[in-house]
Amino acid sequence: MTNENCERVKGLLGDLLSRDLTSDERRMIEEHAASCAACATSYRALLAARSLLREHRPVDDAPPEELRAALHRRLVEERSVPEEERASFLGWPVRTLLGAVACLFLFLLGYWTVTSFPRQTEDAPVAISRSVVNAKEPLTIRLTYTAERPITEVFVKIRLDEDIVFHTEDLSFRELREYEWKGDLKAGRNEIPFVVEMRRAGTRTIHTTAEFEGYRHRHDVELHADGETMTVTYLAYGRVPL
Amino acid sequence: MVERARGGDIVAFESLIRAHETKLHAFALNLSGGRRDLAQDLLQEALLQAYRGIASFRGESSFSSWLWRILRNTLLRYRERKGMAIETSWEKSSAVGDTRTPSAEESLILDDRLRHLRTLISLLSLDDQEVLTLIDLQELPFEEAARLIGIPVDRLKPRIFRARQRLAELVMKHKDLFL
Ligand SMILES: [Zn+2]
Repeated sequence: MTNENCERVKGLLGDLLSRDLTSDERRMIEEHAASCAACATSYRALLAARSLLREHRPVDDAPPEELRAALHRRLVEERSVPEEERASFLGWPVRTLLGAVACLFLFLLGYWTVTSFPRQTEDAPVAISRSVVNAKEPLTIRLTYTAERPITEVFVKIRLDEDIVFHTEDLSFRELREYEWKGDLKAGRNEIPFVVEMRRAGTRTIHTTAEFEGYRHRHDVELHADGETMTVTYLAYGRVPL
Repeated sequence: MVERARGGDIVAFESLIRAHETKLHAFALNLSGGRRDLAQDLLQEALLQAYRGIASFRGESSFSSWLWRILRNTLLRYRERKGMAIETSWEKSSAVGDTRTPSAEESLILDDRLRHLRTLISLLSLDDQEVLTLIDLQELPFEEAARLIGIPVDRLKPRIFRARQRLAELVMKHKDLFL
């Protein structure tokens, strides 16, 4: 008799998470459970599971910052390493010279065009990263090339819009609107750091180009200052043949 | 914004997913049985896939259900690759006499029994797991869950019913975990 009831009770127990049982059904389970230890424990376990499902708080926390950072890194890598390329160009941020403000890793300014995307053209850049810094402090930008092998005769040009100046003690340098660098890249990382200041609120651009091996690669750093803060956006353009 | 992200614009893509990331993170956590490390791997992989595939997002479904499908497929691929890995880790973590305290890192679920329940859910078929995650763990309204999955509401209801039945069977099989 008990076994027969067991089967019927188990059927009801199987529905316990799916629907509200009727009072008759509940009474039947409880009466049976009084004399059947196996069904009694199943019943208790299912009631516990049901209240866990009903009472738990849904997860609602944002992904941690390191996940965002890791994803950003991979997104940039995704853009930056087509097989045929030998060198990749990184733009490094942005750390104020003054004070130990948190270092902003807007990293990888450069990348080359990946075939699965529409080719960037000279007039359609894509934004690689964006961050907000203190507008009142000088901004360090490191143009960083990582080259898999030495590359000779690289020509890098940095041109500042008006209202942006190089931040330096050397007054003659302060007057410069344009800085040119010619040289060879060694295998590994090559950095060209420079520091700028924005003299008034507004949107201005630092234009950089790097020419080597028959192509010009253009990357811009757009500065949008509104008094207190400055938004720094790294933009990349498609490479063009020289 | 979608247009710019489609062109490969990382900033545009990141601001597109910003609106969905808390929910996606929760989905990933629930789909992975509450294991934070696995959830993060899944989410990162899924979002990378989304970035690669955004050119194919045509706006026929909502962006969030498109992302949901990618996350779900990422989990499916993970399961195929790892075979019984989820089961194995469950055997380990819930073995009788396992008294080690879960670190904050691996368990945001303070209640052990809730952890076990999540693990049981993660043992079900992906179809069952999907509806249980959305309806019972995330507590989405039926309409929204149906939209995410891409089925009509009236087909969702029998699915959640059967999924809960199969979960009930697992609970009875492993009832010691809940007593
Ligand atoms: Zn019984």
